Amino acid sequence: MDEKIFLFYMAVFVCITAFLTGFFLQDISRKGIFFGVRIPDGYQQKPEFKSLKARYRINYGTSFGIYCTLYLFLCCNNLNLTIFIMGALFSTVVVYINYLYIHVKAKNIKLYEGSSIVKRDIVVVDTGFRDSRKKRVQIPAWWFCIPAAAVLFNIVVSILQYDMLPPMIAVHWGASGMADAWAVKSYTDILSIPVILLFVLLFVFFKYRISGKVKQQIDPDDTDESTARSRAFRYVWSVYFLVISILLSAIFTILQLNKLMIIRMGPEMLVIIICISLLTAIAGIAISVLVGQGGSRIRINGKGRESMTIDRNDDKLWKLGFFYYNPDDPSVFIEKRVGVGWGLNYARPAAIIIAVIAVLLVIGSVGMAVLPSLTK
Amino acid sequence: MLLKIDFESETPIYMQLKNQLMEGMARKELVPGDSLPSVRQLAEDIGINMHTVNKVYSILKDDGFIVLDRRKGAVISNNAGAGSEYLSRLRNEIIPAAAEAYCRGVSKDEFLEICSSIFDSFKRGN
Repeated sequence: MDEKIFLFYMAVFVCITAFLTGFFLQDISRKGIFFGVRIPDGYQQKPEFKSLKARYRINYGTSFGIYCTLYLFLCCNNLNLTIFIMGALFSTVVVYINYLYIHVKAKNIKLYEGSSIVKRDIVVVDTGFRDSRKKRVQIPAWWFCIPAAAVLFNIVVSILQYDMLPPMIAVHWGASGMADAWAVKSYTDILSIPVILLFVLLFVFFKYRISGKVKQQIDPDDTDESTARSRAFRYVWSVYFLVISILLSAIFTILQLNKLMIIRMGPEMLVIIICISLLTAIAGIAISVLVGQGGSRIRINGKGRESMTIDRNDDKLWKLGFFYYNPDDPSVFIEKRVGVGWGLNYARPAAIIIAVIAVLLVIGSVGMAVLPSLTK
Repeated sequence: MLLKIDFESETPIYMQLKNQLMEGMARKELVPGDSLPSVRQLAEDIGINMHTVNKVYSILKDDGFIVLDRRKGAVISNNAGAGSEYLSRLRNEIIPAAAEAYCRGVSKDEFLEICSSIFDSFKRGN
């Protein structure tokens, strides 16, 4: 397939998924939070808030429609990797601006409602939440021995195969699956793919760990239901992390075995890699949408009683409803308030360091992808 | 057991924690052998300083209610006794409540009846 056509299809895919996740931002977010503002469950149905949500969708739909048209137009005429990547990254800005606009309005409505809306400011914690003798919060960690074994397998096979390799080995493959660059063989080069796999797996395992340790956030009015939601959310994502660990191990092992000339792959290698990558992305989005943040979208046979007050007065800890800043909280990682996933407690120095590293990594990888085409 | 921390209460958070853990042990929601979350984990779950949780765990450890295990974190042990030092502290803790009850005209029997029913509820495991 032509590279430009492929990039265009990817751009369309990005547009569709970005649009959907932005459009349904509030629906997949945490229960009890409205565009970053904590409001009672019963308030979501009030006309002021319903019309705000509708306004968000109109605003977002229009602005994202314009952005998408521009983006795809540019992709058609002037397609290169730079535009594709920058366009995809900046689509988040469209979401953010629309979110911020509605967030401020929601905050004002809450202020207007007065202090009666905040019944109390309490936190409920179950000391046995992570007790493995009760219901499991996550899939057990020993499952990750499977991807760990894959890393070990790769390293051992590589070392054993080393001597049988020719003096020059392939180091880069084109889109057709044919090698197009060679270098003098060295242990460093041979082990590079397994080592990268190791780091990727460590990162995924780290996310698995973090997702289990973040604060419980139990609803005082409905402890059983909110505990069940929280557990289900963590369990589903722990399975996801395990599955992508295994899939990534498979991809990297195929690549390594091909490099070691133990197997011979052709153009189908790229197809497999792209399919698996798309699968992991789609699965992640699907879980986010079906389960919701903190399990907000899981159907539980509960009382269905909608409270008209809130029990936690923590809006002040969330700057712009988005950035958690709490110097009294030792947590570095927390569950996001808006959208699905995990965020940082920016009051902790470790969090700032992590954020800086993450930004540098993004800039670095975008730069690496884009630089060759810029220096041509 | 469920801990409920009230950020608006006049009672300091460490006191709320200690009192609720104590009551949890009395009501057998926490029995010897049960483990409590580590200092860090509990502090993160509530969203408070680790020093506060550490203070509570230290008090409970010194009194013999929990042991701090390197691996399991804090484990309920209930090796606490009621020495003369504790009994005089207990007396001092009851004096304010009794004083107010007395001033409000609560009879001695009524007061003892309330204490009795509380003890009975602990015994029942309720």
